[in-house]
Formats: sequence, structure tokens, C-alpha cells
Amino acid sequence: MTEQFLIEIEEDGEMFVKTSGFFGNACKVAGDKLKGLLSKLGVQVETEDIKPTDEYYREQSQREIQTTQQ
Amino acid sequence: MSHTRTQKVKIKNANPKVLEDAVDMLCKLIPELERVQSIRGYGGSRSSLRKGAIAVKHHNSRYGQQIYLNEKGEIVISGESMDYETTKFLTSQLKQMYKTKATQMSLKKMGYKTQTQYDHEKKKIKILAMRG
Repeated sequence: MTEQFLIEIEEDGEMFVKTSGFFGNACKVAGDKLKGLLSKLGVQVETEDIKPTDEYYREQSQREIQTTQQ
Repeated sequence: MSHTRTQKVKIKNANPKVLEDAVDMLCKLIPELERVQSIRGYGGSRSSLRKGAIAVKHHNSRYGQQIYLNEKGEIVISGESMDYETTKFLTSQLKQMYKTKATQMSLKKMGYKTQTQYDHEKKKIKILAMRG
């Protein structure tokens, strides 16, 4: 599955990040890695809010079902 | 009245390469803005130009401006007899472009391919990055 980042940068510099195609917590790991790289280039990003998408919950419940079946 | 207006884009430890790219992007997106390749003939006193500064000129402004990194690594926009609106405009746009270039570079390091769009109406940058 293709991992995707959709990033919007507003006129005032505010950033919005949406991810898709990640499995479970991998999106958070990738997001943290991006923050770390941006920090090295002088861009400090502070997370104000994280809203998991429906896709995130679907993947979580699928994983729970798989774990139960095993 | 002649004066020099200086404004900081508060990005500490800014990267010179990202700044160069951000200024290039800014000049491509804003037709009124011209990157001055040579400092010869640049408005104002040449002695006031910092070594390594990037010179830009806004067509609505009589004089040019210089963009450089100060000793703290902050981006500084400074120009002689600059009007407030031009400085304010350049400052906010440069901050947005710097973040865009830094994000593109970081995503590429992570192995993503990026596509960037500029929404002129909303003055918003959209970056789509894909991997796999």
C-alpha cells in the first residue's frame, strides 16, 4: 500500500499534515521522523492536535480481529 | 526620507541551502519579485550589503532588499527605503517558502517522492508525498 503525506502550509506558516496508507502507529513514527528532520533545518514544529481518521480506527479493529483469531 | 527597514523571519538555525532554494521559489511564484544575480547596480550603498546575502528587488519598490542569515542563524530581510507593506509581504512569503523547501527536503530524505502545488487564491502550499 502506498504511504502518503498531504501537507498544507498556510500563509502564516501553520502546517497541516494528513497521512494515509500507514499501518497502525507507523504514521506517528513517520510524523515524528519528519519533525526531527525539519528541526535540523531550523523549522520547529509543535503538534497542536492529532485527529485519527476513520482509516486509523478501521486498521486498529482489523488488527485486533487478526490477533484474536491467532 | 531615507531609512533602512529590517525585519526578521524567525527561523533559528536556518540552513543556507534551503534559504537559497526558498528565495528562488519565491521569485518564481511572485512575478513582481526579481532575484538580483549581481550586486552591481543594486539600489543603495553596496557597502551595506552583507557578504553572501541574496539580493532581491520588488518592482513596486524603488530599492532592492537583501536576505541573509545573521550570526544567530535567523533569516533577516533588510532594505533601504523599503515600504512597510513590501517588507511584511516578503517576510510572510519567505517563511512559507522556507518551510516548504525544508519539508520537501526532509520528505525526500525519508524516501518519498513529492509534488508541490501553490494555491494562488488561498496563498497556500500543498505538498503530496508518496512512497511504496
